Amino acid sequence: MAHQKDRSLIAVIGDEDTVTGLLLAGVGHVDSKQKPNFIVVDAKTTLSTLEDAFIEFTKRKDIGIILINQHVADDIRSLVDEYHQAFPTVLEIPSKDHPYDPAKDSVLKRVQKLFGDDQR
Amino acid sequence: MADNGSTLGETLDKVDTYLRLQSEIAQELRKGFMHLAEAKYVLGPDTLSQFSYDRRMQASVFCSSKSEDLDLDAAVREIHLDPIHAEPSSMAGLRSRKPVRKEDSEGEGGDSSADAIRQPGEDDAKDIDSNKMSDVAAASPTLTFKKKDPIFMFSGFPPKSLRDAQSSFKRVLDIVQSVDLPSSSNDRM
Repeated sequence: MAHQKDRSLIAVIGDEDTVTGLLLAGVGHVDSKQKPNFIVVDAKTTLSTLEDAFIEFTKRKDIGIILINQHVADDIRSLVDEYHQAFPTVLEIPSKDHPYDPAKDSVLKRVQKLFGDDQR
Repeated sequence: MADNGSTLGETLDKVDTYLRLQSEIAQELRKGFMHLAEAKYVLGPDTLSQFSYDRRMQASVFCSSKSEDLDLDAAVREIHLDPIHAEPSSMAGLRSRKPVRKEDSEGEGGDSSADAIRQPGEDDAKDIDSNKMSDVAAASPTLTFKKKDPIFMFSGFPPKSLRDAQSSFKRVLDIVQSVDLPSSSNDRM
């Protein structure tokens, strides 16, 4: 099991502007096997590619946080909502054209579900 | 019962904080996207695209777990060479010279003169070496490898708008680092 301190990279799944901006900030990393910790999602990106990328990032031992545009997370909503691991942490962020909607956020949905279970 | 109440209160506080931080992230991202659009206008849309990404890039910003004392700033400082806070080398400065041992040469007799004849050569060599070492030490006080600023991936002379975009996105990462997911406390319920 990977130690928490080994999970130091920040992965990004988003549109070109989001990925470019975060790469500017310094999160971009391509390892020795030519595997990047980011993926640019555009109109040509297939659902299977997106799902595979998300699953791969969640399984990697060197990633601590996954930043994903909320509109991209909507495309793989079932996968994101079913994700319950503590690490890597998945955080939904807004994009240039799609503002943040708390009602869709998987983290808040999980909290709401827990409150709903407590009230029963 | 009381425990459940306090945990509920903590969770609600965390949700509140989480929403506030999300709002801050959204604000900084908006600024970042605006600066990025300006930079695209200046540099051209093809320059700031996924086709300009360096395929050998290495991360210069990392996340750290809350259990460790190391924060994001400290992690970045570790990676980047910080010449202001770097430890000074023992050779002390670019123009330092080894002090001449006047007492030794004056105090002793013929031997000292012989030594004085021999030693200057050795001392000169040592002085040259020490000067070279001090030059090298002054140029790179520590052996930490400095990672390339990712901004230069897109432009050799980045415009102000690109630097502003970089600052905005770096602030986003700072906020992300401080997000404490409210669902993490629910695992303990």
